[in-house]
Amino acid sequence: MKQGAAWRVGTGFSDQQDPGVALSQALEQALSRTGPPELTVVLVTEGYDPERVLSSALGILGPRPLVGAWVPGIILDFRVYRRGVGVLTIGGEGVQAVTHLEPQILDEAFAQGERLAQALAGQDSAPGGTILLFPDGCCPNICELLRGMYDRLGPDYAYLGGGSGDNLRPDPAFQFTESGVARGAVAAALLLGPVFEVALDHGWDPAGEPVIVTRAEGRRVFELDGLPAFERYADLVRDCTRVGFPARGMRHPLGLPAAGGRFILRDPVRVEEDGSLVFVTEVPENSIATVMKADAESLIVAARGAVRRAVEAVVAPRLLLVFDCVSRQSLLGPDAEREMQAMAGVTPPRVPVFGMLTFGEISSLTGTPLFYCKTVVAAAG
Amino acid sequence: MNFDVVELLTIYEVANFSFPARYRDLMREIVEKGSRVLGVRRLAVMVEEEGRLITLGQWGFGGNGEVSSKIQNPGENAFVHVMSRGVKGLIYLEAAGRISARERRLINVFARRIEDIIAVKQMERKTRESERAFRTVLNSVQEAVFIFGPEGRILDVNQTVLRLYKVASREEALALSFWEDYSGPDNPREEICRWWNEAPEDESLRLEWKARRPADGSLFEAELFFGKISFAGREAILATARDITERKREEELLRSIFDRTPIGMYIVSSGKFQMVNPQFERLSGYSRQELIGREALSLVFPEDRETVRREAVRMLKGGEARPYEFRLVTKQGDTRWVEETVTSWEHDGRRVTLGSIMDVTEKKRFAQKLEYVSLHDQLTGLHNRVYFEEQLKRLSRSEEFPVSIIVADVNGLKLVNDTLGHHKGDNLLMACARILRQTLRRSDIVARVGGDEFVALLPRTDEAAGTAILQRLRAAIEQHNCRRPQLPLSVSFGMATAQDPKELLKEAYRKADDLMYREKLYLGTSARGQIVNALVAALAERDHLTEGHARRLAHWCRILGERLGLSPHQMANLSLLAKVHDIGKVGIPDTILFKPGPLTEEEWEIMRQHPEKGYRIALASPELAGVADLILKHHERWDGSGYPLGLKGEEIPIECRILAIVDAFDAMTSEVPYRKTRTVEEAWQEVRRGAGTQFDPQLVEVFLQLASAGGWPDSPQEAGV
Repeated sequence: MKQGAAWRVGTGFSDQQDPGVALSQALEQALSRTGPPELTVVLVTEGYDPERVLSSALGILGPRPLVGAWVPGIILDFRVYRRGVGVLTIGGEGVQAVTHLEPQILDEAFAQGERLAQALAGQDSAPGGTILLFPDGCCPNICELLRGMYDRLGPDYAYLGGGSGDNLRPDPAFQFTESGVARGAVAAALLLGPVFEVALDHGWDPAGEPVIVTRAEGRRVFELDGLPAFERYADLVRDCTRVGFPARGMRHPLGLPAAGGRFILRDPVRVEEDGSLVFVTEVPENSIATVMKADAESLIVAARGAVRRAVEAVVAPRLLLVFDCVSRQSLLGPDAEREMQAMAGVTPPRVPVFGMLTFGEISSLTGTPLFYCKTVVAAAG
Repeated sequence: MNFDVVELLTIYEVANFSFPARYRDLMREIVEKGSRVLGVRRLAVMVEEEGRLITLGQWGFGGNGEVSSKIQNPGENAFVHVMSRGVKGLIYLEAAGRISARERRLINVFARRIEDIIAVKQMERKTRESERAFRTVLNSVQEAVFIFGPEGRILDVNQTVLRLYKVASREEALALSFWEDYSGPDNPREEICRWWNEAPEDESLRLEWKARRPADGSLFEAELFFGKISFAGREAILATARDITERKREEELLRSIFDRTPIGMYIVSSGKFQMVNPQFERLSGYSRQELIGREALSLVFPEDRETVRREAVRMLKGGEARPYEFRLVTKQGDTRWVEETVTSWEHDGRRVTLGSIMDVTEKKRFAQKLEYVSLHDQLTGLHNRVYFEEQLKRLSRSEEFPVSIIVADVNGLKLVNDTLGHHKGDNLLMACARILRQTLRRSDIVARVGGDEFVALLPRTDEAAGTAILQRLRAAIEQHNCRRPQLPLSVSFGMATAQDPKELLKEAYRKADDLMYREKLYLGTSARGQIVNALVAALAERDHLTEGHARRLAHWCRILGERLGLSPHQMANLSLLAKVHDIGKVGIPDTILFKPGPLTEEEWEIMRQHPEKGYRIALASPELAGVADLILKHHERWDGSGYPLGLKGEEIPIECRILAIVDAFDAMTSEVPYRKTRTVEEAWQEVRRGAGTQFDPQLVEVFLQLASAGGWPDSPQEAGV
């Protein structure tokens, strides 16, 4: 797809208490750069009623395409805001957008993905464009949703996005489009005009021998190497107990081999009574996994490398989108700021940066949309 | 981490495919691994079935149906794997960019692994389908099917087993013992064991078996076939059981019918008896042991063997079964007519013939008799009118011309029948027939065509020859009458000749009949008078006393008539009446006429018929016709109590009144076997008592005056009678 000739980007942010005021302020900042947008992306953090935010946005924008989600942190120009409302508007010549809110992702996720694809790209429209996806990070079958969606749309589209969520709480988050607000759903927008170069990295490396996921169902792994999953995992990780497991598991995710020599990471988030492990998302049965390790430096290097590759792939980037896993912030702790600085260091000044902390990241860098964890996805356009 | 480790892990992944039951789940796994591990962005798996490629699954084509074109024109980023190991088909895998050698290697492993899985799954599917087909066939078989292991354990059964043996479920059926639960006692178990140990692979065993229903122990007749098969990779026995209870019942019924039927039945193969039923034994006189193996034709009367052989050949050529008759020679040497129906079929590779025979000897005799009766006159033994008509037609078409026809009619037959009885008439007819038969030639055809009419057909006989024959007939009748004058035979003849077929034989017959009739008219009353004379003579000869009585009556009637001044005509009639008034008694049997005692009422009834019989006889004779009326009334009484008309007084002709007095007086004074003779005085007194009741009183007075005047003899002897 060719780059739109004169597409414009506007970003804005406000941490005013009142959701409506916050939205208005943020939107006003963004609109000042784009004028009436073809697509508006709204991110809100906890403390803001998404219904009121959406209502305010619609009051200002009217029935224009809008997509958004409730996120644990908003990234604006490499600063992370844990509270507030962030807005991205894209407009200008050659820009078009369509949104769809697919409610309640259930067991038939593949079919829902097909339905979502059908809603975004009807049979009459020419293939191509970027699909921005904001699924609920708590949904267990996002991978299946992506495969269903891709089966219907094929490789002519770029897929970008991140799982929405409420700052590591397992409760369903909010997703919305101009048509309304939902929970446990996926909000999506097909954007035509801007073209993005995408790069991603996570900075994690294998830390031990491979294990076979001998029995799993969705995101629940019952056995590794034929043994109870936690028993085998604890054997690999050492010093791992049920008490305080999420924190320990976050530091030792499993890595699944992926195309191009990469690994896709899967965070274990819970140990069940039967010794099975629940991961943040799908772990396929009969897959090979290794326990992964990382440190602050490797994470920061990986983030910087991803942004650099994305930015360098575009001659004059007008926008940088960043989807940074929220667990990386937790792991980095005080070094999280350094990650942002590292990414900023490889990004040209005046390029507006808009992003979010995510519960899982979506990219079709290897050809098909995959659902990543603990990864930084950077898209420059 | 270097590439070698990632490659190893990738191979681990590829090696770790599962074998899900559904192709849909396999496709999910292929998509997940392919997209994640190998960066596959499109894939399709197709297998060849019945010469066509069937898509098992595809992914990433965006629903635009470009699978075929992608496969046909794969780019640098595509990999097409042709499956040929166990399953035919192809796997299409497409990456985002050009596929490197390392990626191609991994994709190749991936595709081959998929091929292996699909091959196994296809094999599993075919096996399942085969099993389903096997199970469907097994369950659709009407026979109960057991499959045993060599040790006798039941490995499988079909639905019919459950139905036939009333077993609730397949599991229950498999858990039971064939010998203990499914079989009744006394079955030939050893025979099966011997067969199992000794019989070759392709040999089967058939047995009749007492089968048992495990639930209630009830038994039923079964036919079992045992065969050796390979089941689940090892030797097994296939046993099929069929309920033959109904068939056995039918067989018993057929056997019973065979044994009890009144029809003689046998089965012949290769010309020899194989089986006979008791009725056939009875018919032939031979025992079963003597018949089995014996040539069937040996029991056939020699002259009829060709008929039997011809019928057998006709039937073997597919001709319809139809009954035919022949003579059977029994063991005792008797010849019996039998009617046989045969039918033939193939049995156990041999042609067998079932014969059913019935003894029709009596029927045959009856038919012959019936045929004789239908063509012959029972009284005379000559042919009848039916036969005559047939022969007339036959001769009309024949070359036996000239043909003469003689028509003969017995005269006065009715008179004889009426007066002397039908047996006398029959005697006349038989005499006539005898004369015809004896006088005519063997080649002539003679028939009785009516009550008193005979016809003779004389083939190859011209008029002259016919006339000569007719003359011989007349002479023969004369000779007959000379020998038997008491009842002469009078026959009227007519003869005509048809010279050639142009002259219709029927016309000749009509002409002969006319001539006969003319002769009958010519002979007319003379012929009847001749008979009457013969009758009178017969009456006289029958009883000389009666004849003397008639003469005395004639004498005394003449005296009394003269005294009373009767005319000469009346006097002549009275004289004749006195002689013939009892002529009607010729038809009364001697047992009544001469009965030594009082007559019964029935005998009197016969007796009282004689005036009427006499009347009819007299009418037939010109000499007697004048006194016929007097004969009829000669038993009337003055007071009207007589018979047959009940006339009284002067309604009764005077000749009859005179005869009544004279007849009574003569009867009282004559010696009669059954009555005491009275004196003249007693007779006089009796006559006087009858005056006014039985007799005309005036005539009684005249009679008594004559008697007292001495004009009457004291006794018959004195009167010179």
